[in-house]
Amino acid sequence: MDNFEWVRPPSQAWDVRMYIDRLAQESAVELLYWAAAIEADMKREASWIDWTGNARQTLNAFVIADDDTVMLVAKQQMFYGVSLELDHGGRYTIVMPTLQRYYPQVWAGISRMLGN
Amino acid sequence: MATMQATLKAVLTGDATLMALATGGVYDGDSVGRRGLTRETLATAGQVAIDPAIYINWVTDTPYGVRQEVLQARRVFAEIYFYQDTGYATVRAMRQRVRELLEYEPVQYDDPASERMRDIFWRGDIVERKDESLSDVSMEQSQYEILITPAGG
Repeated sequence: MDNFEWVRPPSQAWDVRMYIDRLAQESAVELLYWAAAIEADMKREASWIDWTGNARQTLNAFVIADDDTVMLVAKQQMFYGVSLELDHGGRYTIVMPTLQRYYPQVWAGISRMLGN
Repeated sequence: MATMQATLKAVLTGDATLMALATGGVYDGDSVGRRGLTRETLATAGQVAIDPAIYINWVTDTPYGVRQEVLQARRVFAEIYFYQDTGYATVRAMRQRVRELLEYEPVQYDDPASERMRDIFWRGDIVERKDESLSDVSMEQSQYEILITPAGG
């Protein structure tokens, strides 16, 4: 292998870092689209009576992106949100059911983005 | 004729090991009143403490994914709640036993006859919580995803 020589080094032929960055950017854009829809659905369909307006206002979905991770987060941000989600045998849960309903659409969007 | 929901509940109620733990019973939306799960439901008459119990909450029924027109498959999500008055030993034992009974153990049912359960996937647990709506009894939750396809699929 002493006489081996790249015709074009991999770093020039295929910039992996650039590919990952583009993938992350495009994924974030795709997830931002779905985050808005998920948040609107959660606010509209939460079945509890919101006496203060805070619970519905702080039902949020957003995207967190750093170098290697893109994440869609949906959450109830009031301190009693975890109780709304998990107490009463799940009677008032809204975050997980909404995410579950959107799984196929989000995955279809990501698949389209990847050309599948 | 038995539905998927009734058949899965029967899997739990038919297991002697689980029933020895869940002495307060196994419930779902059809077996509690309009107030949902209450301490009165879970406690023996005249007792203050609740008996260890299980509640099945059917959450979501959603298309499997893309190409629904081809796959015709769907995912059904269920949350299973475990309760005991104080401590978590029985809750943990019930949660573990339910997982042994359900994970990768699809069941057959005949209502509707046009579909078939292909598999049951465990999707995670929430552990060591208190349920404020039941006066802070100990509670844990398991999530399961059930894959359904057409009967001939």
